[in-house]
Amino acid sequence: MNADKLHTDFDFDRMAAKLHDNDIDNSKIETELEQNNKVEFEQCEKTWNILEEMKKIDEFNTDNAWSDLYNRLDKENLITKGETKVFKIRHAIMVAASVVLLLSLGFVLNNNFLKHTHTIENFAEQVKTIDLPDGSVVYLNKNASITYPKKFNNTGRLVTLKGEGFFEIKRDVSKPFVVNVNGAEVKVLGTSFNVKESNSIGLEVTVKTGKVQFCDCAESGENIILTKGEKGILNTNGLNKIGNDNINFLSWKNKKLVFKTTPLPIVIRDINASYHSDIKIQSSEINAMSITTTFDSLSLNELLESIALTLNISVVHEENIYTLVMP
Amino acid sequence: MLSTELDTIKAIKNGNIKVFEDLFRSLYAPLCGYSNKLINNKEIAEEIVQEIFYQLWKNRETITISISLKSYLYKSVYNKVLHNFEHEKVKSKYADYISTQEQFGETPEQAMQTGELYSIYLKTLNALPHNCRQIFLLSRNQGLKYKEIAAKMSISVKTVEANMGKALKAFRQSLANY
Repeated sequence: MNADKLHTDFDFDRMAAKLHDNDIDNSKIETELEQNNKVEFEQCEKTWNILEEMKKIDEFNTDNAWSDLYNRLDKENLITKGETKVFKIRHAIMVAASVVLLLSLGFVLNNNFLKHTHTIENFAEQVKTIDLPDGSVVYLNKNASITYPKKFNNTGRLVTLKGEGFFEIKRDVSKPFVVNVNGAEVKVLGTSFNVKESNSIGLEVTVKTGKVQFCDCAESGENIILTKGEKGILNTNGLNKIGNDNINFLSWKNKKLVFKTTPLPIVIRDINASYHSDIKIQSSEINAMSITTTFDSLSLNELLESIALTLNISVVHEENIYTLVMP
Repeated sequence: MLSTELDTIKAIKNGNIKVFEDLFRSLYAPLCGYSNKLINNKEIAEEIVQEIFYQLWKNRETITISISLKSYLYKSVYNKVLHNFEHEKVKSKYADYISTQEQFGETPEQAMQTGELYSIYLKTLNALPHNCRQIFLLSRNQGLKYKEIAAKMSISVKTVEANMGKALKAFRQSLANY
């Protein structure tokens, strides 16, 4: 061991992370790290070089490429449909990068060629639609992911969600559909509902049609039943049922926003949630305004323009931040 | 050859598009990486790899693969780039360059090793906690500053730093021995 070694292993990596910031002049950190932790430093250098190389490979979009190839083969009638039942894709693009990750590992390294689950992540702005093997459909919001088996077994349909997703479940009373989020479970037979996991609020389940059972299985074991229009929240206050207070809870998916004399701060909150945008209000006068309108599938710019015209205010756009100001 | 590879070839010969898709998904990006390294043109690199997979599927019933499927594909990329300048753009632009190289670029064997490294990289990336992976990708693939990531995800710069540290440590441990 090097007696001069000042940092624990984790501190080292944290310092090294500073080096990797695209922002900082890091020559000073570099010298310090190199002197104190020679071995780790060299490993780091090497790792970064490898990561650079990997980045070049990462740039190729397998989803799009597969979609192109599949369409080409399909057009030339080179695919026998009878054998592709399970694989039927409505939009080939849907199958996300992480499937590639799992499969590539499976095939290339572990001989574990056919993994039993798919994991699909959505890093894109657009909503990603996924057809599950039982005919149910899942819509993933940005930064959400879902893991599901290639084939559901006979006893139930279990999937794991991170982030926010909307589910349209095909009815099958013999096989309950269960969404697992960090140990909490949402159990249904056939219905549609939204699941949203966020650090600030906790886990929210909002029911659009039918009935679901929401269970804090990992902690208290408590259960609630939610029906159409109801919302359940699981956070540090436990599991609670409330009426759905946000009519726009699905706007991230359908880009439809409805406001009825809604105060501007709430309007902006809903728009930001739906468009992953960063709109700010910089005036108490604007904070006090409200609007009544419906926006259906507008672009962010169209929508802001419409608000600005209606309320006679201005929008300042700077580096992805929109600020509403008095003219 | 591994028995799973034989199974894969057999399934593809039998017209199992799902198995073919799995193969495509596992190797498309690293093969493009290789092909791009040889010709330094991303668009043509992709065309070449697309074409190889297209031919493989189209001629699957008659094709004979005596080496491992993976080696076959890497070699195909190499051969297609080196000997098979069907693509006019490659021909005019790179023929001179290539003909002057004694040992032309990376060999298929070396590229396969890079491909394996890529698998390890993906495995490590995939094993990272969700937020940690997201932060890493925002920093590296999108080139964002830590404070930009912090603002985007509504977390502190310290949290970004800590997560990057975690990610880099994971990669250091899995990749540094190669």
